[in-house]
Amino acid sequence: MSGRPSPGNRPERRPLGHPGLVPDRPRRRRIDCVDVVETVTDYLDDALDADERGRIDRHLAECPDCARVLAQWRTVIALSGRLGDGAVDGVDPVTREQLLVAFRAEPPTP
Amino acid sequence: MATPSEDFDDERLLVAALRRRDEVAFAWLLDRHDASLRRVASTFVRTGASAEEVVQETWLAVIAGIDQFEERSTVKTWVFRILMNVARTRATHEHRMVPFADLGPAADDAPAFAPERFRTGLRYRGHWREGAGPTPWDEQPVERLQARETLALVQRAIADLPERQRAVISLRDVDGWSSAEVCDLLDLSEGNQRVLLHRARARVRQALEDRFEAVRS
Repeated sequence: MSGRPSPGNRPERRPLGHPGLVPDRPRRRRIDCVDVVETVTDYLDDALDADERGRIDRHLAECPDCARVLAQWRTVIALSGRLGDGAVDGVDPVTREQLLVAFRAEPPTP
Repeated sequence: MATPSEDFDDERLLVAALRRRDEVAFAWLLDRHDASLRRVASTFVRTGASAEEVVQETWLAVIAGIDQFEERSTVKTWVFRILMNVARTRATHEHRMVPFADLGPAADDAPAFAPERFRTGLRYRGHWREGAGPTPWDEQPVERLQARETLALVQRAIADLPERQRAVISLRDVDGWSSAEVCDLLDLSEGNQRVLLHRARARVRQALEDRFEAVRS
């Protein structure tokens, strides 16, 4: 067999677009997309043991859809963080002034 | 209005300034935490107006208590603990106020993605169905992604969450609290906290996907 694969003579053709889809792959504890999407928050919080994290990392490296889920989780976090920047939700000015008055009026404890 | 001349991120400077009734320090504290206090308070009460009341009462307790603050925790934690106490005290008197522990179930068991999006066949069980993966809504120009309407959508999605999920995502993602801080304040285990957070983020993500799909089609 020559080293250069010609079309139709490829060694093992994986189904397109997805990792781990080789049906006769040896059965070991594998993690599927449906599980991966439930672990992204744990993953981002670094709450997985090394073993599990490794399995997720390998899956993400091969699965664009799950990698996108992780990216979208980060986007959700970033967008939520923008709400906390204050621009969206300021203090009511009247309440603010009343509280400042109350603060001024509070006698210091000797 | 005076500009802060000190860096109030330094806790010792902040507390000292509050004790000598430096108004700039109190205004700084107010502006920094008020919105966040209202977000948390709104998870305990049924109306926006009573959330405002709880937060005002919290600030008044902060003013009255500042000289007794013992600096065993950060000022932020202290302020939020006062909020929790105010909410708890009110909960015993008013039916419209519910203590956190009594809010709904710990988490619904809704998955992050609809089960129909995954294959069920023997061979590829649990893998994405063809074309059912997450849509690439996050790949738009950043100006579009961070536009006012998008942020308003995120805000609405958070407001529509079950209370416990709303409290956790508000503190973690909107206000940037650490997992440990949130667990401590809300008396949650790390695991429960993450389940609530995960469900919350999943729903917000889905709201974004739905919106941008609707725009595209």
